[in-house]
Amino acid sequence: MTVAENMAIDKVMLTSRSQGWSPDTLLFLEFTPCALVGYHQSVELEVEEDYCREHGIEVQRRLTGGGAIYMHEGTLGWAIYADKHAPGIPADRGEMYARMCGCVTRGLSRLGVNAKFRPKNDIEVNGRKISGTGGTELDSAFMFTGSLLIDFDVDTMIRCLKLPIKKLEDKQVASFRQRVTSLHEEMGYTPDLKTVKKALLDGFSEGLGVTFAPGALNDKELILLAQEASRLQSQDWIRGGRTMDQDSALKVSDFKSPGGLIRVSVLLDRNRKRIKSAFITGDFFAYPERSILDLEAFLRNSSSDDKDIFENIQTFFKTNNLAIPGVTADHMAQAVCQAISSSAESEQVL
Amino acid sequence: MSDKLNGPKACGNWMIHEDVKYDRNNFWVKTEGRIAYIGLSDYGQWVIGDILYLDLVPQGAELLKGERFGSVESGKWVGNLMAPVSGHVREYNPAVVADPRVIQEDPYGKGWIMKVELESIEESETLLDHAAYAEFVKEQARDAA
Repeated sequence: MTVAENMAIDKVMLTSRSQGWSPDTLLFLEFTPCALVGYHQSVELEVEEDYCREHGIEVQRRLTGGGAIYMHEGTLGWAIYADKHAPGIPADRGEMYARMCGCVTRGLSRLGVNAKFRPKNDIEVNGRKISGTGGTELDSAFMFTGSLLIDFDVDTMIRCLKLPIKKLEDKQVASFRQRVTSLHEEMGYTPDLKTVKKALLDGFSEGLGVTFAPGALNDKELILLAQEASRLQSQDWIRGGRTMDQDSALKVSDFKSPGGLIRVSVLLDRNRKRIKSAFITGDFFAYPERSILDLEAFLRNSSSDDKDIFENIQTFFKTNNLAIPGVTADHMAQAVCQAISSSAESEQVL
Repeated sequence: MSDKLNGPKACGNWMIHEDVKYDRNNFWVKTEGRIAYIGLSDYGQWVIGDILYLDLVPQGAELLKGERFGSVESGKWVGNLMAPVSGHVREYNPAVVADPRVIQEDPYGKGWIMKVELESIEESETLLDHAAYAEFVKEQARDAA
């Protein structure tokens, strides 16, 4: 399927489920190289378009929320389309995330990979992300979807998305690489897609207490797929305007704490007053080791007001029993605030 | 639109105002003749969670009761906003468009979302009153527990 068809299938299956044309469904999607922005994001702020154009990477928009992602042959999309009141589907969204991600971690455990759900909505192995997720709804149906990294091309991701990395310095790139993992890295080899799909299928079957039967798109779904794919090919869809003003500024600063240097890079949306993403490195020693990766995940999309940053980071240190010799929660908060108030390394306003 | 509506009452962990009507998608509607102010109820904003993005049909657009007029994103989830009444959008609350967190801070006051010219006054009279909405909220909260 084309990238547009892969995006269109979500609308097709949601429509189909809400209209009663199909039962609750688990679907796997394979991709050619593409950069996919979240439903409300703007392509200009999230994607290195020149790089994508030069390297044959298609750009598309998802129906689901969350940040921009890079998908290619080394990734696998999974999605559940179900009735909101289906047995085994919790009405509370947080619980639903946990249940669905739990199905994926069950599946991955069958491959010998000890993955865990990281609230609110990531799946990780020792703090390193192996599958992002997202969801949306239509009438009585909802979908919950994710992107599993099988043999992931991190270098291309770093180059085709706008990330909080300054000038792609080697040390930063190496550190950024530690933020994600893949089945290849965890298993020591690349499992074939059939094996991965079977493991996930079993995970969902066990986690939801249901049995799946193979199926194909019906005639109504095929007609709708052709219509939707054509609509999603348009620039109106890919670059469509959004109500809210958005902005993206890369801010970097080094903060000297008693425990060592803290380097903070943040992508900031100054209009929405949000930290879009944060990247924290330095020569301090954190225990547990993964806690800095968890802190970065915790700060994603959080408020960029100084007061909120101090409160959030203090809460994070307390709830995670985070200990960094010579670095207190206040030092970390100061480092983040200092980065936010620094002049922008690069900026884009829409 | 005054900053605060009168008559808040607690329903579980959420406030419900007595002088507005509600729909089952957790919008409140306050009518002043043919004009209606619309916002999310306290329970509605709580269900959605931290609102990251809000996207709305253009000002002046026609709204049809029960039809989609925008979307909201929270925690990677994109939800549809369905119109509680039919009419035309006269104005959006600029404070909410700039920063949807205002909805969460003051859902019945500074967090109003839009001002609508109603298609018919009678339609808004079919919405739930505060007592019926309180029952609805209790039911929803029970289902989610």
